[in-house]
Amino acid sequence: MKRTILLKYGEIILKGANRRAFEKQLADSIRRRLKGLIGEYELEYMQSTVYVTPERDEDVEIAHDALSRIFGIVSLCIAYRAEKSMEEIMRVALEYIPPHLEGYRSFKADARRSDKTFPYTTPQIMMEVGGELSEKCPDIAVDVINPEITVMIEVREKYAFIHAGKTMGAGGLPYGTGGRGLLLLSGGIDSPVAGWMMAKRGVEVDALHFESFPYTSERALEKVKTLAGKLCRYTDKMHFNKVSLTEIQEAIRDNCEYDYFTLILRRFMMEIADEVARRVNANALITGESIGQVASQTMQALAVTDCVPSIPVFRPLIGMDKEEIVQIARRIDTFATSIEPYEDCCTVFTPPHPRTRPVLEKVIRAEEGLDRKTLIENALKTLEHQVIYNEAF
Amino acid sequence: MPNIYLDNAATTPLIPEVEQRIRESLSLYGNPSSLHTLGFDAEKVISRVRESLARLLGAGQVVFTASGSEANNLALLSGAEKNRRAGNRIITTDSEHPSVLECCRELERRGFELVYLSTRGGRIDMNELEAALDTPVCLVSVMHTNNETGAIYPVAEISKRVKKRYPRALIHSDCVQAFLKDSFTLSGLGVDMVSVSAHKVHALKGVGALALAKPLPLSPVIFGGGQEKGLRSGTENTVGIVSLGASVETLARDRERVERISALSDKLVTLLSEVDGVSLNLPEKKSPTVTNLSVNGIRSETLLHALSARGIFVSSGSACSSKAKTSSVLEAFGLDKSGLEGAVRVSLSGLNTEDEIEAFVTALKEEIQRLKGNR
Repeated sequence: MKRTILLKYGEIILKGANRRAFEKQLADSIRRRLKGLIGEYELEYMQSTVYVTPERDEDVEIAHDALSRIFGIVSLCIAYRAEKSMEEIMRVALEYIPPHLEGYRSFKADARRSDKTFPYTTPQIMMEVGGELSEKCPDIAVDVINPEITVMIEVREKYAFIHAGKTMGAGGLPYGTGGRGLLLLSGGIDSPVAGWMMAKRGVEVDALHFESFPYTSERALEKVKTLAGKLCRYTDKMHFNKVSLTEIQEAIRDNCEYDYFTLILRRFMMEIADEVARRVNANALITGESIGQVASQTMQALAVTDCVPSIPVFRPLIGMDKEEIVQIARRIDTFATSIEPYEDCCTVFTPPHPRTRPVLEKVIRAEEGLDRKTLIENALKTLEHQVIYNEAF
Repeated sequence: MPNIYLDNAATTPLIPEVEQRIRESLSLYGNPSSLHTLGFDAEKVISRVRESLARLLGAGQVVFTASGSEANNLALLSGAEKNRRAGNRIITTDSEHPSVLECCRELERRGFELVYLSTRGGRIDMNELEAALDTPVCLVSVMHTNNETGAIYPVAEISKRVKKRYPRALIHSDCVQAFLKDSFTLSGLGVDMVSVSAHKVHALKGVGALALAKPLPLSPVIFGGGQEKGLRSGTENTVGIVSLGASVETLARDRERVERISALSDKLVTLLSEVDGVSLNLPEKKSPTVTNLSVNGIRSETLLHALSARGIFVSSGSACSSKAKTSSVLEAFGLDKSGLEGAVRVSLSGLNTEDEIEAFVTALKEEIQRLKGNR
């Protein structure tokens, strides 16, 4: 028995003249993902659906899992492939579909036919297959108005495909169709989720991580790379940039009013990120900030840092509760890594009483003792880049 | 500058003599249980190591395990169960290695009554021990040398007092940190079981041993093909055991090594006592191999990373994150919060030199200066 994975397009179908470009990016994503898997796959595209058939049927579950993380795909299902005759369709449906109906109370059969030379019409296929299935599965009722599960028979050019039930895809738009953004990636829970949300909208996400060795450890850095790797399960690869903040942190510690430590530091981070974004051709910064979550994320504090960069700062989590963010972090499998206990560069010098309603003029005055230009130049000299790949498929 | 490795209580590098023997033994792939020549060849070399280890420790039986932790598990879990008729109480200390302490917690769940003797200041109070002997005891487990503070506990004194009251009590000592660093025998300590590990003495990871004064009717923790007289099933780790044998041969002969380490330790303690902001956590009786210190106001993990970047490797008593716990052993020793957060362990081997000690102390001073800033 051959099985085929059917991937249904999401929002792409709403696109007009640009649709081709979106479809091409989506096809590239799918091909790249499959290339990372063991085994060969046959691909076909028609009617807003991608048909992926593994050469070896045992690869179908792993491929299904890998393809469930392709942005631009709204749903997936595994279909049984039958030769194009009513006898074969019936045989396959009766042999393989009943287990899928277990646990449901009602079903209907539906059919689609792109091959109009097929000797049965759509209603005929529905009735024949539905009738036989109903006889074979007497515990499940037929309900054509509001069924719990639908058995679908699609008669295409070469084969007929029969499937029941579907799973959700990653949704969004094909990766790489939405410009490039630079994600300020830490080891926490929020920033990976923020990066994922922008990637879901098709934005190509590069990462910038700030470390402050020896105040943070090599293991903390490794953890952030692991998080980037988790995002690569959706994006296949990610440009990972790293800048050391050690000298800046020590300078702030030694020269500035301590209550402003985090704010001053974040203003430095924004300025460095702005320059890194320019170098990597990113058109926006992405952060995991959510209003009111910590002292540096009050509206006043955000205003003090937001005025630093020259490009827009996107904060996809701005209105979300921690619980909602955690839910996504669990779904995209970053949560368990994020809560590993390694210190972040933001937390090593945290003042005991940080300012929550800072005034920009006062922050600027607190920074006066620093040679901003030299500190930033030196920090940018520590910029390192590497590409992280999707290793878990 | 080449690396300075001062974390020898965690593990040690291989020495050339051991490396050589490992290379030679890699071709001994036969299963020691196989009846053919290849199996017999492997069995022979394992027997030789078993004998030399038994001679060194004065043991009547040696059981090879996959780690010191496993040897401790076998001694504690099996010793307590098999000797339950002698009494329901188990005595140990509050600063044992986790592989002993966690076994004790498990034995508590199984209904044994546990007494944890205090080791504050690296001392064990004999009055506290005597008080704990008011009820029949089946098992006592007290380590020889503490891995975090270097404190040497009075194992011989404890065994004497226990055996006087309860001759049937089994006594175990975790000697992983003392093995081939301090000379001891089972009879000298007056104990029934001793655990040792190979990788702390310049041999391979993956090998430990439980040495028994005389064969005991223990039950295994790992069941299977009946290797190691049924006490530890699983095909023997021939190469690992050979490496342990090579270590025993090389190190037991090198008598000056221990004196060298002692001299280094004295120098280290002297130099450290003159560093601003450093307080030494010295036990009453200290092994020269381990020295614990606290740096006031700097979290030890930060200092560890700073030294690591300079190629100097020590160990920290606490993890940097506020979520991670500080060392319960150092807490038992009596350190306060700031002492715990700034605790650093320096542990020596015979491979270290005076120059390395000096370079370490200089680097330590510089990094303390830098990490404190002018705040």
